Amino acid sequence: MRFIATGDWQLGMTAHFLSAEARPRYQRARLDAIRRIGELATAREVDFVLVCGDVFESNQLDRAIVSRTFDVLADFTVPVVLLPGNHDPLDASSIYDSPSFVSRQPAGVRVLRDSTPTEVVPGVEVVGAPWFSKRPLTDLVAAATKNLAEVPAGQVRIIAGHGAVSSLDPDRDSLATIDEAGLEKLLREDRAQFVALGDRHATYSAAERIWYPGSPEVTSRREDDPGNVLLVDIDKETHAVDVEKIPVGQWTFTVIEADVDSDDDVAALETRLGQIPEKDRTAVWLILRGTLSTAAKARLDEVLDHAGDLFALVSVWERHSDIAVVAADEDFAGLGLSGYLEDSLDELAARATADDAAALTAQDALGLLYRFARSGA
Amino acid sequence: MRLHSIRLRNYRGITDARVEFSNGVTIVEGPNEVGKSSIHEAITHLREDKASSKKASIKDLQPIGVDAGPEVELHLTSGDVEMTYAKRWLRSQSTTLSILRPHPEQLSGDEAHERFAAILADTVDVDLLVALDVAQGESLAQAPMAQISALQSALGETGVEVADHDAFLERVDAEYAKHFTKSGRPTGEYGELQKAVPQAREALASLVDRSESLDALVDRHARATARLESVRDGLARALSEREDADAAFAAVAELRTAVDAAEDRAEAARRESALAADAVERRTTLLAEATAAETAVRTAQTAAADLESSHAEREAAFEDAKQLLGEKRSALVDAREQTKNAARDVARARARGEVTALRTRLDEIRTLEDKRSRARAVVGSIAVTTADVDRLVGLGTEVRIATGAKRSAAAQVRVTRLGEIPIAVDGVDIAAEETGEAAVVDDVRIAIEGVADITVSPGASPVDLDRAVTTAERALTAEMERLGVESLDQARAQANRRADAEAIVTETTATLTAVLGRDKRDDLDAKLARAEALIAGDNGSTEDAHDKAARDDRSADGVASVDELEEIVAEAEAAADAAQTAVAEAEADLERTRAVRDDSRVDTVRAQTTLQEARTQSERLQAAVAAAQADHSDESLDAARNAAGTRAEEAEAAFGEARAAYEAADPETLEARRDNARKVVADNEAQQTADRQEVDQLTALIDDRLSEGIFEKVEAARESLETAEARLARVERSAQAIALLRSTVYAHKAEAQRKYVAPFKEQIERLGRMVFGPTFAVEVSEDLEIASRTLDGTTVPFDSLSGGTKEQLSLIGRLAVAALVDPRTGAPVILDDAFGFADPERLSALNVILGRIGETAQVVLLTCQPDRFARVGGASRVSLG
Repeated sequence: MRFIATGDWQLGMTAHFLSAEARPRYQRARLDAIRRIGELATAREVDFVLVCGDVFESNQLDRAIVSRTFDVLADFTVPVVLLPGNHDPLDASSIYDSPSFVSRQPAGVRVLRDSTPTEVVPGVEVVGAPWFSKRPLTDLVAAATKNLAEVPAGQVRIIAGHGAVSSLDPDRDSLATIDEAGLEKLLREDRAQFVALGDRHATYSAAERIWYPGSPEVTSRREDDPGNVLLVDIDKETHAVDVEKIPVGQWTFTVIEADVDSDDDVAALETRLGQIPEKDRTAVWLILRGTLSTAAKARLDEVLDHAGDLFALVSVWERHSDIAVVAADEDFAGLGLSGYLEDSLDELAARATADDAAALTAQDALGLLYRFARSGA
Repeated sequence: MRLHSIRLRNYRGITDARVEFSNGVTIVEGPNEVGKSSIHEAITHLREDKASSKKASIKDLQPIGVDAGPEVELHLTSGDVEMTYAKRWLRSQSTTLSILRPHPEQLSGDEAHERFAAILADTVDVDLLVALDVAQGESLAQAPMAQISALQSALGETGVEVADHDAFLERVDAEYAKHFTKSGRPTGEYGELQKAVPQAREALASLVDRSESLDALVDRHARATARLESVRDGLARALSEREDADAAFAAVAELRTAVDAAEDRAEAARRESALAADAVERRTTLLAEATAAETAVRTAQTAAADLESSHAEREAAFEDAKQLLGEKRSALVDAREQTKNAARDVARARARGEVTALRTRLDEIRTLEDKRSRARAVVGSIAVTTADVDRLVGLGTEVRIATGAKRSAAAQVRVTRLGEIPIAVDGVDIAAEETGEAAVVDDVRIAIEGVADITVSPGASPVDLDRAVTTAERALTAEMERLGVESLDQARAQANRRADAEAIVTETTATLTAVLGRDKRDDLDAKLARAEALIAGDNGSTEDAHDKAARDDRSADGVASVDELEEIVAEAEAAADAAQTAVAEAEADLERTRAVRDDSRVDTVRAQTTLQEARTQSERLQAAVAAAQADHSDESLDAARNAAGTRAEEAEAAFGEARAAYEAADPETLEARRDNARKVVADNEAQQTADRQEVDQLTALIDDRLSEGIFEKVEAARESLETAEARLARVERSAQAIALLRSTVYAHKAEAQRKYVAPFKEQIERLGRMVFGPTFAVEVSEDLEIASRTLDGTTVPFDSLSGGTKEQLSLIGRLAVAALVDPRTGAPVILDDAFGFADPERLSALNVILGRIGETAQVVLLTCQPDRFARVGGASRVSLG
């Protein structure tokens, strides 16, 4: 049998850091990725699609998102199994219990509301560990799998969970951390054949047959391998497992680091940005370091302004960047500055090189002085 | 520029005047009307107004009644050019310019006008020219020095030239204006974002709050649900516990029933046993009573017999007492009789004594009464009383008085015998040498013996006197008739007899009263009669023999005295009293014995009754005993009692056992457990209801809150905030940059300006110290205006200074300019009637300054008060008019 493991669709999520123009496109893109999963399921003839939690960004979403999601899922030719995660737990505000969900739920869409084994297709059952609150006080997966018996040949059991496994969880003492060793033992004893987990947005294999498929479309610049789904093949008889990672995402969030100390460096950065494909689906965070003349800084600003028009986002990551601007004599020579303007230039230049917060303002003031003097000359 | 001379013709009041100017100070004197101001004005008109000008100020120049137009000719050197420039307005208009140096040239008309203007523009700073030309009344204001390029170049040479970066400053200001108002407050996008960001932050915070409160509701819902489940379990547990407790309690209730039954049985047995014992007790009592009754009969018999015998004795004693009382009463009657007789004897003896006394007294009384009766008869026979006598005497006196009066009224005849011849008057002889007198009441007869007999007859005497005599005589006569007397002496004798008789009456009456004392006359008679009757009665009464004998005895012994008789009475009375006492004692004794007898009679009857009752009782009891014993023998009763006692003890033991079993089951604890279980069930049910309600409420609340789609709102708000913050950061950066640039540039500009104005400021202060003293200082603004003056450390803004000081400072400013500028490009200082506000001291200082300035610059002073400038050194003076 074969199925697609995915998770962390985070439908309804917004990306406020993007430019205003890019935001609605990005939101559409998240649904488009789901649509492509459906197409992939059909193309690769899978038995079903398993979504491991955080289908929705929040239980507090406007319920319109449900209609849009169902509109996409209705085109799926295979069953879709949804697992509530920490973002959309089965609590009193659960989106899965909302009238818009319950009343319009397509036939092929199932929600794992408890840990009762669900036979999705004949001979294949899924045991889910849904979240009932945002802060569970126990390892839900361990609880869901505690009493499972060995799976006989001809049948397959898949575990669907959500949360950090112990090797990933920075908070080791968290009560909800998923016991990785326990899962490995479960697989070893053949009481389950595959564990699909949600919560981590990048594709990641915690151990053999224990996978995080990740989010099908990137959600954060921190993710190192987002935008994939897993195509999982399991031999019903031998219980052999084969996992194939398939990219479906179309957006890129990237961080570019560059040293800029001259006009040439600025030009090189411009070239580098220019070579990035599909700019309107790309967000770029720049980490820039160096010392620029007033003129070169003005040039850099122009380059970034221009790039900002092309990309979904171009942003200097100020926290990590450090660009100093110095008033180079050659910048102002020939601008005919005399008298008190000359005095002003000297003073601002001196302040611009000082090692304090006001230096940046002085650099900006120098830029203005440069601009105004040049346009007059 | 140097002015050499000016000529005015037909100009206002001036027909033709010419003034030569020196190179230094020229003082032009003249009254206002003469037109010293005209010189100043003429130079201006010459420069500005074409000959063809028809404006009012030109027309005003035309002198009245003169045919020719006003004409001005000025000889001057400006720069290198020396020339004569003349104009005639209004009539025969003409403009001529004669250039003398460096290249002689002659021009006229507009060409001349234009050329002159061109030369001025080339060679002199017109702004300076205007600034230094002070018309009358304009001296208070400062000249606009900043635009004077001559001054600028002068300052540029000495100080630091301020670069001209106006275009740059405009751009700076324009950029600054995008972000800040003139007062430096953020405006435009910057200002809006500064307001918008906190608003957006607040909006986000409030939405996040809403979202978090929804989360809190969900948490509460989860807790309430968990509680509901736990209470459901608790309820099930409580129900089962209640069931157990109810069963245990039911079991113990059966034990309780057994205890109650055993108790009932024990109680019944106890009652039966008591009844049996009671029957035995009653039989014993009955037998004892019967025995006691027999004893009582015997006792009563003895008592009754005793009482009967003692009663007979008491009856006898009573009869004896009665007898004795009869005897004592007889004795008493005798004693009383004797007493009565003795008393009668005493009374009779006393009566006899009294009769004798009374008779003696009555005899005396009767004698007195007779004497008084006789005296009263005398009184009655004599009517004349002493009072009557007195009245008769009075009446006689009245007669005499009336007669006297009549005689007095009659003529008096006085006869004196002078000789020897006797003379008689009414028969009375008159002795010699004597005088006889007579009233002529009746005829008076005077006989003179031998001589004459003279009768003097009275005339008619007064009638009333006659009548008074008559009346008095009648009254006397009538009274004597009434009294039956003849004369007064008779009346007086009779009255004395009557008075003697009356004295006797009085005396006897007094004696009678004394003799009678308190007794009345009639009482005495009655008393006597009674006493006589008593004696007589005794004699007449029927005396018994005893009495008679006793009286006779006494009579025999002589007459017994009253005292003796009274002693006998007393003895008799004592005997009677003793008898009385004896009677009373006997009576008391009788009463006592009677009471004793009666008591004993009652006791006897009572004892007999008691005996009777005792007998009845005894008989009744005997019958009862017999009947009871017939029913149940004494032995059978004892046996029944013993059997019942045994049964009661057995029932008591059974009850004790049942109770012990019941208590061993700990019913109290069981009941407490059952009650507690019931309460726990109730509590759990209540809690379940409450929790269910809370869950339902929270569900409804959450569903309601979910419908608003708060997530999107939060995200939108976060987006707005971040956008605004990013924009603000960007704009703020720009704003700070332009603010810094602007403040830096302006600071440096001000500094440059300060350096630039320094020479000008120094020149003003140098000149000013001559007027205001060594502490004088000024502040000169960027545009070369005097902003304030400092004197003795006190700084006052220019506008707040007095008029005089303002004028002086303004002129000093102009003079400073004149001193600073290059003499070749400089202009003359023309002052029209200046320093009108200055006091003499300052004026003198100003004179010194003007003299100093005159050394390097041309100064023209127009004044109507030449004294003001009398102390200007090196001045040439010209008088107009």
